[in-house]
Amino acid sequence: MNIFGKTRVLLFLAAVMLASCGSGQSTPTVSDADIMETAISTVSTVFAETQRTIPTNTPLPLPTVTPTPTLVPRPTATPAAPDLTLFIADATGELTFRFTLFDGENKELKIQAVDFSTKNWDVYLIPQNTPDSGFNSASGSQFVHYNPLTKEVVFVLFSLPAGEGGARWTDAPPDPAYRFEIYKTAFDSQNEFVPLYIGAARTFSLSHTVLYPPDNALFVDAQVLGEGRHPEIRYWNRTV
Amino acid sequence: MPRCSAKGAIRKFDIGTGQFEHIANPVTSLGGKNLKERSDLRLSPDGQKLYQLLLYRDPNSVGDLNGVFNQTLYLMTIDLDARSVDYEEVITGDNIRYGIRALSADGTRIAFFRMHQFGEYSLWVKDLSSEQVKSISIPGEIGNINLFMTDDGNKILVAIKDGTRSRWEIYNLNTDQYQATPFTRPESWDSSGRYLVGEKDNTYIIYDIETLSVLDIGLPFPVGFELLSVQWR
Repeated sequence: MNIFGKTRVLLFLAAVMLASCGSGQSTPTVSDADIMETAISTVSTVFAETQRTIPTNTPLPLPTVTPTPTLVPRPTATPAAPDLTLFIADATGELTFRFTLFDGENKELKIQAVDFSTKNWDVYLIPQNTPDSGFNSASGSQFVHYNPLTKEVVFVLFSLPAGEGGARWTDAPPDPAYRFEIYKTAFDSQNEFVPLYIGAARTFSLSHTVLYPPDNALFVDAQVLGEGRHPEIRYWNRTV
Repeated sequence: MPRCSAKGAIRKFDIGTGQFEHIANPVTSLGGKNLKERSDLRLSPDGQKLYQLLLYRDPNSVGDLNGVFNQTLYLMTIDLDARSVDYEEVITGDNIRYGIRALSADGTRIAFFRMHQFGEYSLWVKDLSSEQVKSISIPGEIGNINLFMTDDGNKILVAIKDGTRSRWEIYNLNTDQYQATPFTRPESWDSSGRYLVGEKDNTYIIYDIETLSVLDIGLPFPVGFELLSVQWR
């Protein structure tokens, strides 16, 4: 499967990045057969499930709204920042992204430009700052992850069958053979994306991801194929 | 807020080995109701517990095409050490609006909205350990249904409609007072609940809610394109 080839593909990016400052960890090579095998034969762990509370139909009454005065603080002139690293991943163009590390202790910025056009991926972003939908990161999940222990960034690409919004265009290409892919990159890797996993079709897809840096692991919400919604970032490869 | 539909499973992906491990499947039926939506995931800071909010709907509700009547919101807690899954009822009612960022880090306190007639919202906070539910007064109309709770569960960032935009204010559950913030678009509390990062006037800022100082980190906000992630590490 040539994922960087000229097949026109509609992709969602739920990127996860984990950059690498010499973690020394070898990256597994994944063949199509391995991918299918891995995707199907996951480790099944039996969990004891308990239900603590029996649901009851006790609707809440409307609250009595008493306006609460808002304190308007007087700002001080001394800027402050926590002694933490802030990681920001954002888009600067249709094909370009930016990964930023802000060192709170030294107040230093480190920026890496990421150009997906080098991989022949085209990017289509859906504006969604409507009052009700909120922000795409506000639900809690992050689609790009930075691990300060490995200095790596991890991202996930999703494929979207049948074109934008599920409506197949007349010239739409065949659906991709994979459902999602996971890549990692080092912060200073010059756009080298290391494949970690390719989810075969008709298995499952990923929706939400959270990173636990000490384990260098992602916890994911894996959905049955065709179910659910993906993040709002879409990728479309226009090059045939 | 992006959410999943009913079918799915929680898995763990080992970045080093490239292997998935099955963790749990949210139950598809609870208390006679069917699973309608799943929220995003949240991991406790110590990596021991994984949280997800699950919304169930009444399959027998007549004329409820959108599944907004007689809903029940549950908090699913996966104990990754004990290998157990626990479901705790948050609230039952109509038109529940929720998000995982409105949950405290220890999973004991949660804020949520309920939408009423004519699009009015009421704001609530539930202490899951004491089962107490508190109504929170809102100084105006809600401008955005995202809620951001601090890890300790003592403060919530709330959007109040202000003309065509929203002003974001911090509600302190200990003092029952709101505090103004400079944000156009907040993104994330730090773990201490003292610092907020977000956007103001097309630039990223860090706001210290104790000294009330604003730090412009020197990074312009990408106007016209979406944000992917903001993480304190």
